[in-house]
Amino acid sequence: MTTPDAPVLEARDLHKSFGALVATNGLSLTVRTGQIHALIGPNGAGKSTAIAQLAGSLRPDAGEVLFSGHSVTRLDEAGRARLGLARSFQISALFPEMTALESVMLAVQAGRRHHARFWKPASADDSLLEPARQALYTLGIGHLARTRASDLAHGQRRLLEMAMALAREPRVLLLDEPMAGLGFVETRNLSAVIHALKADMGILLVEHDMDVVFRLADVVTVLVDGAVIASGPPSVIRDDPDVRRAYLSEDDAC
Amino acid sequence: MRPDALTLRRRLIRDGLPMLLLAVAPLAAMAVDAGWLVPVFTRMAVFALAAMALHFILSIGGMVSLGHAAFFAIGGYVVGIGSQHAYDETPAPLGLPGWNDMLISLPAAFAVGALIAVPFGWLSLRTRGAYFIMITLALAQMIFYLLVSLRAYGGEDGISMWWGRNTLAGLEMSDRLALHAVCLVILALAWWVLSRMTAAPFGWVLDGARQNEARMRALGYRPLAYQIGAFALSGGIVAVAGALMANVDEFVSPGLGHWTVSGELLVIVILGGLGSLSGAVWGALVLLGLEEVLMEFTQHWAVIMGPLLVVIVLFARGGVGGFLDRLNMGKRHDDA
Repeated sequence: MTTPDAPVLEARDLHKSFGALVATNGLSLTVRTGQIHALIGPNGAGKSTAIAQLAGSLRPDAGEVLFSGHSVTRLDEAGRARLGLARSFQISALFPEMTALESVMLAVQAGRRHHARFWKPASADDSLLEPARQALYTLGIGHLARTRASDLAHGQRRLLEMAMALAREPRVLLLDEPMAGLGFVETRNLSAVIHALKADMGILLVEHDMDVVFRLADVVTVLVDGAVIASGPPSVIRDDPDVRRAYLSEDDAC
Repeated sequence: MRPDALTLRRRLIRDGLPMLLLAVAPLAAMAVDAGWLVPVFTRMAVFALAAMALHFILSIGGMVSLGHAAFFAIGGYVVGIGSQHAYDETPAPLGLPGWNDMLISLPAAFAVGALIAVPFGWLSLRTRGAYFIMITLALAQMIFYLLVSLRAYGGEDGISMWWGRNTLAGLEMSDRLALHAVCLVILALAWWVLSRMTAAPFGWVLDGARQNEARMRALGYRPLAYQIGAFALSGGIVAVAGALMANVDEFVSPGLGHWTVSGELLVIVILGGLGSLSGAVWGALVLLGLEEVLMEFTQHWAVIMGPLLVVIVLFARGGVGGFLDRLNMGKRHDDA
C-alpha cells in the first residue's frame, strides 16, 4: 500500500464554523505517500482546526475526508488511528506518570488485538517492548526509556511525542508544529528524522519555521482565513505574489 | 503501570502486614477470651474489600465515585431478600425460589451490582471531576430512597435475619471465625484479581485515559468501554462486600446505602494511600480501628475523629502507604 505518490489522505471541500467565525472555508488538499505536505498560514488561519478535522477529533460541517480513497468523515478519531493515521500534538500530549518506554508501549499496544487483555502483565510483553524500544532509538532517545515523561526536557518530550506517533507504523502522519520550542540543533535533528520517514508514509506538516518548511516540503499549501490561497511546490509558493502579500511579507517584517 | 521499585521486604511490610494483622487479630482475640472483637475485624476486612474496589477505579482510572454505597446496599439486599424468601418459603422476585447459600448469594450480588453499575458508569462517565462525584452521589441517593420504599422488605427498618446467616455450600456459618475466614479469602482473591488487571493491558488503558484521554483516542483507543467495564467490576465487588456485611450483621437496611458510607469508603482509600491496592486494607484498619477505640472513651467520638483525619491526611501525605514508602526511602534501589 506504500506506492509512492498514491493519495493516502484527502480533504475535500471542508467547511467548519464556530458561530460567526469561519475556521475552515472550502479546504481541499491531498497528502501522498512519499511526500511531505506542508500546511502554512498566519496565526489564526485555521491550521489546527484543519488538523483536528483530518484526525477526526473535530467533525466538519460539510465536506469529506478520505483515507486511501475511502470516506472516513464519519469515523471517530480512534477509528482513523486504527486505520493508520497518527498525529503529534502542538503542545506535547504525554502520559506524565509513565516512562518513555511505557508510553510508546501503550502506543504500540493500541494497534494490537490482544488475546490476554485482562490478565497478562503488559510490561512483560516482548511484542510490545521491542517495537517500542526501536521507536525510541529511531528518534535518538533510547537512553531515556526509563525516564518518566514528566521528567523529560522540552525537546525530549517532542521526540517522545514523535516516537508515540511512529510506534504504530502509520501510513499518514499529522505533525502539528513539531519543532515548536526546539533549539537549533534539535530542529535540525528532527528535520532529518522527518525527512527519513517520508519514504514509508504521507506526512502533513504544520510548521511556523519557514526554513524548515521550504527545506522539507514537497508540496506547500497556504491557508489564510480558513481558505487555501495557494498550493504547489515550494519554489512556486515562494514566488507567489498572493502568498508574499498575505503571509511571507509580514513574516519578513519581524 | 506505575514503576514498582519496591524491594521484597518493603512489599511484605506494605502489602503483607495488614493482611497478616487481619488474619491473626481475631485468633488473638479468641485466645484472650475477647471473642466479641472478632466481628470488628471482620468489618475491617469487608470495608477493605469495598474500599479496594473503589481504590481500583480511583487510583488507576481517576474515577472518584461518591456513590459506591449504592452497590454496598444492593449486595446486602441480595442477601437479605433471598434469605427472607428462603425462610418464608415464598417466591422471591422474578418467581425465583429464595436463596440462602453464599455460593448463590455472593455471585448473585456481584452480578446484580455489576449490572446496575453499567448504566451508572455510562451516565457518570459523561462528566469528569466534581460533576462525576455529584452524579454518582445522585444515582446512589436514588437507590437509597428506592430501598426505603421497599415495604415488602421492611422499608426504612430493613430486614433482620433473625433466622441466621447464609450457609456456605450447606455448612452453617454461625461460627464467627469461619465467617471471618471467608471474608479474608475473598479480600485476598479480589486483591489478586485487581492487581493482575492493573498490570494487564486493561489497566494500562485505564491509567493512560486518566492521564491523557485525548492522547489515548489519537492512539486509537476508545477508553469509555474500558472505564465502564472497570466501574462495573468495581460495583460488583462492592456488592459482594455488602453481601458479606449483611452476613456479619445478620441485618440489612437502607443505611448500608447511605451517602456517608460512600464517604467512609473514600476516606479509607485516601487514608490508606493511592500508591498500592493494599492502601485500602491499611485505611480500613486505621479508620475502623480508630472508630472503635474512640467510641470506648466518648460517645462524641466523631468530634475527635474528624480533626484527626485532617491531621493524618495533611501530615502523612499519600496515606499510610505513602508514609511507609517514605520510611523506606533509603532502601530504594532499582528505579525501573
